[in-house]
Amino acid sequence: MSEHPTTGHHAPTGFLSKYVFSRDHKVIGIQFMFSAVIFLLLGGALALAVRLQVGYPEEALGILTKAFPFIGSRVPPEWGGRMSPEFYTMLFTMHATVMIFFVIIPWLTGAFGNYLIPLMIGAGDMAFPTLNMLSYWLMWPGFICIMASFFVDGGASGVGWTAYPTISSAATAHGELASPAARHAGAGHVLWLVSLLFVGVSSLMGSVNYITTVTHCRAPGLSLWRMPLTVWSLFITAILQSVALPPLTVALMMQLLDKTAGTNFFLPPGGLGFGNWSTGPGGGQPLLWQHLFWFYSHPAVYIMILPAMGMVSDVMVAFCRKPLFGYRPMVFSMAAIAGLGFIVWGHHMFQSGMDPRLGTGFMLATIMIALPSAVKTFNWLATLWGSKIYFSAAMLNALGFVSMFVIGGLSGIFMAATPVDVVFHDTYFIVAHIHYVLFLSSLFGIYAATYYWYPKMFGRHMSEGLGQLHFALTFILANCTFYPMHILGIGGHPRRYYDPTLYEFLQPFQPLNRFMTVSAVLLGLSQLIFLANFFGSLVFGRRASTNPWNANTLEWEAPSPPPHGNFENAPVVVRGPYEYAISGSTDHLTQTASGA
Amino acid sequence: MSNLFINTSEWPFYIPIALSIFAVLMFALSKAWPRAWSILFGSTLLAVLAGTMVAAWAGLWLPANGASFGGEVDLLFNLILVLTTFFFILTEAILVWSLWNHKPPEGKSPSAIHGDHRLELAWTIVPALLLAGIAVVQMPTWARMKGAGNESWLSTRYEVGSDKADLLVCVHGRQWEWRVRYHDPTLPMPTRPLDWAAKAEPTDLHAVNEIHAYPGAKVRLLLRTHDVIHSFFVPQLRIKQDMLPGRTTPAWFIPTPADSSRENRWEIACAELCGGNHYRMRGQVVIHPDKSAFDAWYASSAGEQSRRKRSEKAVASAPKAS
Amino acid sequence: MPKPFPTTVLVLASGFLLIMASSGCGRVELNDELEYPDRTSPVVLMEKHPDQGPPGFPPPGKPPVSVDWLVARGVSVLDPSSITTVAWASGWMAALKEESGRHFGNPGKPRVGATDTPSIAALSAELGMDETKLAEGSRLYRRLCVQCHGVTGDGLGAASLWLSPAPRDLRTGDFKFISAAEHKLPTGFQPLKARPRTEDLVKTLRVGLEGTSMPSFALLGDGPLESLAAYVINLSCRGELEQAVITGVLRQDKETSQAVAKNPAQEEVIRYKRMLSTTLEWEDPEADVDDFMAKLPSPSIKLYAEKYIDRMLREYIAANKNPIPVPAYPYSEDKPIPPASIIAGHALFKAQCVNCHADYGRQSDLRFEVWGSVVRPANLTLSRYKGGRRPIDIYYRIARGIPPCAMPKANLGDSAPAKAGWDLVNFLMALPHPEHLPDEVRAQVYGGSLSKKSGTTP
Repeated sequence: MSEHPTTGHHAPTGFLSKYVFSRDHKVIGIQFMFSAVIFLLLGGALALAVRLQVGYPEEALGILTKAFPFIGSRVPPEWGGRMSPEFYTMLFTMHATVMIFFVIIPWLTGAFGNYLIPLMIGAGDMAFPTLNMLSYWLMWPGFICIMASFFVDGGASGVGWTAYPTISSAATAHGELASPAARHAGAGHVLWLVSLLFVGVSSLMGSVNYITTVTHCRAPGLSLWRMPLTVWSLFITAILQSVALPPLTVALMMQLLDKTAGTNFFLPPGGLGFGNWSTGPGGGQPLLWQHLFWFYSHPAVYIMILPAMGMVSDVMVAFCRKPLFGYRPMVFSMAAIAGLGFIVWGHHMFQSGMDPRLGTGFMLATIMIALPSAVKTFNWLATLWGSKIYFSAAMLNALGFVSMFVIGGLSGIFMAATPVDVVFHDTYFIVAHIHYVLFLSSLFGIYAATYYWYPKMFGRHMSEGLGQLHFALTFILANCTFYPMHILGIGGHPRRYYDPTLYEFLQPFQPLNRFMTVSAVLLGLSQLIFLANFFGSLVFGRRASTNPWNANTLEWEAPSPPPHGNFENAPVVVRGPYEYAISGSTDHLTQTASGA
Repeated sequence: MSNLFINTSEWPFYIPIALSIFAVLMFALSKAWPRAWSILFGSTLLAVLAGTMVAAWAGLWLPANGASFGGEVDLLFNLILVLTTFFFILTEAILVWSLWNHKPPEGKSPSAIHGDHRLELAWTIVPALLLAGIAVVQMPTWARMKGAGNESWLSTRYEVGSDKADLLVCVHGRQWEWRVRYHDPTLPMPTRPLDWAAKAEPTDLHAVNEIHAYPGAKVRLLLRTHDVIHSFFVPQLRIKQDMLPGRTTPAWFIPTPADSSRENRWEIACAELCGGNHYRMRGQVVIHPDKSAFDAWYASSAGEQSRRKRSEKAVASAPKAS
Repeated sequence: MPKPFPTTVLVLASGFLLIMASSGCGRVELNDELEYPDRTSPVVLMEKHPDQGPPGFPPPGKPPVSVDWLVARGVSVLDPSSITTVAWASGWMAALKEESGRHFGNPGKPRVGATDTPSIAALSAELGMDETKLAEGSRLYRRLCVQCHGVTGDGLGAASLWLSPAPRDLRTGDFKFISAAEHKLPTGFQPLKARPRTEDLVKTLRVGLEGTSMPSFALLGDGPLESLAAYVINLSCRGELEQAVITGVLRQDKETSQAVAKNPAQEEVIRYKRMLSTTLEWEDPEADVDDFMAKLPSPSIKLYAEKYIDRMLREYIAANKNPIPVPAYPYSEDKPIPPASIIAGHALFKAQCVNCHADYGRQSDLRFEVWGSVVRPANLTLSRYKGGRRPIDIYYRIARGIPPCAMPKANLGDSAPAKAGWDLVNFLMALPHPEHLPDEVRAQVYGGSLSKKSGTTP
C-alpha cells in the first residue's frame, strides 16, 4: 500500500498536548463525548425535577427534600414549602438548553463527527487540526457561562429554550441586567445568550472543518458514492450547520444588545409596560426573533437527527449482514430533508400572528418533509426484511431508533396540518413529538453509535449484557414517559405548566401525569446503567480486536484504538461500504479488500 | 388537602414498575431465545395503540367541540389519525415481523439486495400523494379559521365589514390575567376597530378573565398585550392565537355548543410562556343558553359597572358571572 | 459476538433498580408543617411622610423598600435582626414567637386567638374567621399567593422583587383601598390603623388591581374568596402584632436609658412600660402596665398580645359596621354626565388634586408609602384605576383618601358635599375621554386640538 497518511501535525509528546490541548481528532472527539455524558447527567436531573413538579405539583419539593436531604437547608424560606413557579421555568429552560446544545449536538456532531469522519474516509486527521482543537475549547466558555448562570442573581435563564422576546429581551430603560419581565430573564439569561454564542461559533468551526475534510481528505478510491452513510449524514449536517448557524449567531447578538446595550431589535415601537417599570419606546418587532431563531432551530432539529440516521444505517447493516437497501435514495432523502429543512421554519409560528397566508406555504413545505423521512424508514425496513439479526446492544438501539422515529415522524404530520396545529401548538403534543425525535430517536442513535464504536475509540468493549438490559428498560420506560404526552396534548394540556391541577379540564389527566413522572424517574435511574457501563468498561471492558463486528468501513482497518495518524498504511478504497452477503461463502468484503 | 404522599397503590405508580420488571424479564429471556426482543418491540407498540384507544374511550381526548369551524378541525384530525395509524401499524408490523422472522446467525446468508427501483418509486409516490391530499384538504379550513374568505363580517384587514359582527371584544393579556373589554353591542360597531382596541370608550364594559357570548354569536376578538407574548387558547373553541406586543391580532369564533340549553363554561389557558405564573392565566368563556340570557348578563354587568350606590349586600362589588 | 452475560449482574441490576424505585415512597415533608419564619425585613416607622420624594422606583431585583433612601430623608428604620444584639430583648422575642404561635398557629393550621381566650375567639367568629375557613384560606394562599406575598405576608415572595408595584406587605395592617368611613371605636379611641372592610378585601381579590401584578381571582368563587380574605386578615394581625413588639423593643430612646440608669434593678419593668406605651394606647396606661408587671414573673407579652389582638379585631369589626356614607347621585342616572358637572369637578380637581396628580397625573412626582415603598400618584388620563373603575369606587377614594399613601380625602365643602363629590367623580370618569369633555375643560387638559394619541401609552 502507499505511504503513511498525512495528519498535518506531529504526534504530540507532552501530557497536555496529548490529552488536553490536543489537535488529534480522536482526542477531541473523546473530549466532546465526555463533556456530553457529564451534561447528560445534569440535563436528566433537571428533567426529573420538572417531571416531579408536573406530576406532583403540591408535593414535588417535599419529595425532593426527602430524597436528597442536603437540599432541604438550601430551599429558600420564601418558597413556602413548594417549588416556586419561577424556579420551575428555569428547570425546563435549562433542561432543554443543556440537552440540545450541550448533549445531543456535541455528542452527535462533536464527538462522532470528529472521531469518525477522518477514520471513515481513510484520512490521518481533520483538514484543520488546530481549528478543530479551537472548536472544542470554544465550548468551554459556553460550559462555564451556562454553569455560572445558575449562581448569578435571579438564577439561570427561565424564559424557555426558545427565548422568545419580549419576555427574554425586555430591559428597563436604565439598563439593569435584571429584567422587569421575569425573574429568570436577567443576568442568567445574558449568560445563556453568551454561552450559546460560544457554542454556536464552536459548531460553526467544526462544520467548516467537516466539509473541508470530506471534500479534500478522502482516501484514494473513496468517491462520494462510496462514502458510508455516517459520513454522508455528517457531511450534510455540517452544510446545514454552516448555513443555519450565522442567523442564530446574529439573533443571539441582537438579543444580547437589546438586553445590555439598549438597542430595540425586538422591542415594539410603543415599548412595553411592566407596572411601574417600562422599557421606553422601541422600534423593533418581537416576531423578528422567531423568524431568525427558527431559521436556525428548525434545521437544528435535523442537525440532531440526520447524523443519528446515518450512524443507525451503518450499525444496522453490520448487525444484519445484508447490504443497505437503497443507498442512493437514502442519501437523496437526507439531502432533501436538509434542503426542505430551510423552508419550513414558519411552521413553529402558525399561531404567532404571522400572516396566515404565509402559513399555507410553510404548511406545504412541512408536509412534504415527511416524504424523505418516510422513504428512509421504508428503506430501513427493507434492509431488515429477511436478514440475519445479531441482537447486540448497538443493534437493539438502532432498531429502537427506527421504530420510534416512525412515531415521531407520524406525529409531526398532525402539527404540519395547520388547522390541527391550532389545537396542538404549544401543548404536550409538541413535547411528545420533540422527545420522540430527540430522546427516542436521536438518543437511541447516539447509544447505538456509542456501543458500536466504543471498541474502536477505547480499545475495549462495553458490556453487552448491561447494554441490552439498559436498552430493554430504556425502550419500555421512555415510551411510558413520553407516549402519554400525546394524549395530554390531544386533551389540550399546555406545555410549561407548573400546576395543571388549577384547570378543571386538565384534572382528569393528572393520573397520566403521575404515571409519566414515575416512569421518568425509573427511566432516569436506568440511564445510570449506561453510565456505569460507559465508565466501567474503560477499565474492565473486554479487549477489542481491530474489526470486532466484521464490518466493511474504513475505520475498522485501523487498530483499536487507532494511533496518531490513524492508519499504519493509507487505505485504498475499491468498493462501496455495504458489501455483505456477497455469495454463499463470502460473508462480507471490506472497502479495501481485493477480490470478488 | 389532596393526597399528602405519593400514592404507591395507584396504577400510575405500580404499572411503570411492573413494566420495568417485564423489560428485565424479556432481557433475561432473550439470552436463550432471541425472539424475546420482537416480543419486547411488539408488545410496546401494541400497548401504545391500546393505550391510545383506552384514553379515547375514557374521555381523555379532544375536548368536546364548541366552535363553528371545530367540526372541520376534528374531521381533519381524525383523517390524519386514520392515515398515520395505518402507516404506524404497517411499518411497525414489518419491523416486528422482521425481528421475529430473522435468520439465525449461523444460517446461510440473506440475499444481497442493494435496492429496488420500482419499490422506491412506489413508496415515494404513494405517501407523496397522500401528503399532498392532506395539504390540500386543510387549506379552506385554515383560511376560514384565520378569517379569510368572503364572510362580510370578517376581513383580514379588519377595518371594514365589522358592523356585521355581533360582539366585538378586546382581550388584553397581562402578566397574569386577561383584561376583557366589550364594545357595547347596542351601539353601532366602530368603523375602525383597531383604534377602538387601542383606546377604551366610556360605554365599554370591562371584565377580567371572563368572556361571555351566546350560541351563534359572531364574536370578533382583538388580542393585545403590553408586556410579553401571551397566547389565547380555548380548547373547546379550537382557537389559539398569540398576542404580540405592539400589534393587535384578530381572531374570531362562533360558539356552537353541543348542548345549548344550559350555560357552557370553557376554560381559557395561556399557551405561550409568559413568566413564572404562566400556568395561572386561567380564564373562562361563558356561553349563555341564548341571546336573552346574554343580554341580561350584559345589562346587569353594565349596571354594576356604573354603580353609584353602596351595595346593600355584605359582599358584592364587581361584574360577575350570573 | 455478544459475550455470555453473567446472571449475577442481572440480579444485582434489577435489585438495585427496585430499591431505587421504592426509596422515596415514605412520608414526605409537606407544607403543612411549614412554620412562619421570623421577621428580618426592616420596620419602617413613617410617622410623617418625608418632604422629599424618592429618586425613582427601585429597579427589578432590588427590594421595594430602600433603607438608604428612607434614612437619608429622616425616616427611622428599625432592623429586626439587630434584636439579637440587644441582650435584654431576646427573651421577649422568644415570648413573642410563643404568643404568635399560640394565637395564630402555623400556615398549616391557622387560627385567631388561643384556645384559652374565648373573648378573642368570639370576636374572630364575628368576623367570620373560623378555623375551617382559615384553613381553606391558608391553603389557597399557599397555592396562589405565596409566590408574591410570601409566607408571612411580607410581600417578599420568590417573585416579588421582579414585580412593580411590589406585592403588598400585609404585616403592617395598612390597606389602600378601603370603603370604611373615618370613625371612632365604641370605646372612644381612634383606631390604630385605617382598617378595610372585609368586602374591600374580597373586591380586590375578585377584580385584581389593574395596572399592577395583582390578578383577579374571581374564578375561585365566592366562598374561597371570603376564606382568602379571612386569612389575609389573620396574616395581617399576626404581622402587626409582631411589628408592634419589635418596634417597642427596638425603640429605646434616651429617656429610657436615663430611667434605667437611675434604677437598674427595675430595668425590665422600665423597658417593658416603655415598649408598651410606644405601641399601643391603653385605656389607663399606667395602671394597666403596673398591673401586668405585678403578674409577670419573667419577660412575657401574654397579656399584651391578647390586648393587642383584641383591639385589632374590634377595629376590623368596627370598620365593617362603618361604611362610607354615599349620598344619592344628584343628576339623572340614565342621562349622560352633564357638562356643568364636569366643569365643576374640574374646578375642584384643580383646587385640591393637582399638587400630587400634576398635569392630571401625567407628570406626578413619586412619593413614599407608609411601607417605605414608592408610589406614583395615578395618571388619571389612562382610564386605569387600581382601586376599581366603578363610580362608587372612585367616590370612596375621594371620600376617604388612600391613607397609606398619604392621599387625603377631598375637601368637598359644607354647602353641597354630595354634589361636589359626584362632580369630581364625573370629571374623573370623563377625563380619559377627550371627546367627552366640554371644550373649555378639554382645552386645559389636552390642549386645544383633540389629540388621538393621548391616553394610549402602555
